[in-house]
Amino acid sequence: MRLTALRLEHNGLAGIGMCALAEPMSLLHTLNTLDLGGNRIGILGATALANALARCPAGTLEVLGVGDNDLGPEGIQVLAPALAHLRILRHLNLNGNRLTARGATTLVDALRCNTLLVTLSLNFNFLGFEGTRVLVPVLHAQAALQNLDLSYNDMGPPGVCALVDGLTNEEHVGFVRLDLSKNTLGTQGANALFPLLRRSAATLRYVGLELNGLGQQHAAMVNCQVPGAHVQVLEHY
Amino acid sequence: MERTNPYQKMEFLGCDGKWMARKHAPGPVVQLTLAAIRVLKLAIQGPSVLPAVHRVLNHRFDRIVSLQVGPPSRSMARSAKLWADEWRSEKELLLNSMLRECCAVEELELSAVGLTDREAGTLAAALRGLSQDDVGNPDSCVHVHRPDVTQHAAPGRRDAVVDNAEKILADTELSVRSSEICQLVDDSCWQDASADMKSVQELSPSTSREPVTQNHMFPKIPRSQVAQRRRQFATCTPSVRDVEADNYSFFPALPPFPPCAFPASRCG
Repeated sequence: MRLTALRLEHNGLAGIGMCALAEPMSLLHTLNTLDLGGNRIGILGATALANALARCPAGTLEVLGVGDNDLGPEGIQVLAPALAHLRILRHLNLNGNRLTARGATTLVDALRCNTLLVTLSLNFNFLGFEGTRVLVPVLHAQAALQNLDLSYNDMGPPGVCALVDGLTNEEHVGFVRLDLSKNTLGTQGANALFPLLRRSAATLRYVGLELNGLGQQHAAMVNCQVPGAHVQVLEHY
Repeated sequence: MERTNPYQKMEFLGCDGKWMARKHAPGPVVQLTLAAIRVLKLAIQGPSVLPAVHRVLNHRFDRIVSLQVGPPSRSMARSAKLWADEWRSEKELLLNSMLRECCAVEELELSAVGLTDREAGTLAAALRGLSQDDVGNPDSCVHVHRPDVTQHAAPGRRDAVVDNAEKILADTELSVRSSEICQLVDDSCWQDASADMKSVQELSPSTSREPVTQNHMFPKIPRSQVAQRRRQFATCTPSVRDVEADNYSFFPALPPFPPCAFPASRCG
């Protein structure tokens, strides 16, 4: 069998289910894409998944989706060694796992050896300023990073400043999608974001800044920074 | 003048919630049409179509390289728990039968079908079986069927078959026109003019009352033979990338169809 993609999203699988699937997963040596988003594997499932991934060849898995799985900082801690093992991982989705700043620290350690990320999704993770600040060095090293989703993390203006100051890698190819919605940016945070937007103006196609207390004036200003992008600033209900 | 079946190379079938319900199970036209399908996408509203699809493709499932079952979008997936119950009765078929026949599958998506932890175990067994080519209990069997293209339809049923095919194919992403379906019918299904209505009913999945899970068209064969078959596919089955690149070289050309025996006006 040459299974290269296995997607089992939104099935409500708990840790026991993940344990059952872990062994055959470790036998799928050609697996390139694994998406387990929208389940609830928790720490137990994360442990089983980590064991399975650790036994997979390091040079095959490029896409990993573990979003919305109730991992928490403990879960990501269990998963971290396996993430470190995946040297060519390009797309990582850890949305909705309430990682907090503690989980972000663990994630940074796990991704330290990986500089190939193209997509990193960390929305709904309660990162806050501290979690964002911790992530910056890893993000800085990702020269190929095109899609970054840090929405719904309440990083605030200090978080944006840390992000903008940190993401100065001259080799960076430029963002294509950048989502910082619901981060309590306010006008101060939005203004702080402009240098980053200008640096990626040639490549950006989507900028998400919804639910940040911004009005039409800022929407226009952001549009001016990235004329080629679809900018979502105003709230849509 | 020799003509070729325009659907010989049709390899993608998307059925996002619009494919037939059980009562609209596809007839022999589609059964032949889908001979080359290798990317099969079944999405929302899917459970009831599963047995039909299984029957339609029952002699070609070992060619499927991409099987996608689930909702077409993430947003729909999040509300998918509502119809997880609908999938309950069909998952056994999906996990125990269909999946085990997909010996060439490269992309497998089972999104929002309400897999329980117990069913995850069944899926794991299927994956484990599919990942082991030559090991395992020789007494254990999986269902793999022999190619058996014997479907024919009778002239008297032609309109009904065309209607059925139109209904099925028009909703796919293939933008099939009626004229093409007619041509397909002419090319593919009407060669055996001697077939009578009885044979149509016997051969058409839409009229079969036999439960799919007890489909005796699938002889049980030892795992050793399955392994041999998989090895064969490992060397000759085209990858998903080949499909996307329109590389049709894998399938040998079918022999030319005889001239159409029906008036050109009927074929649009």
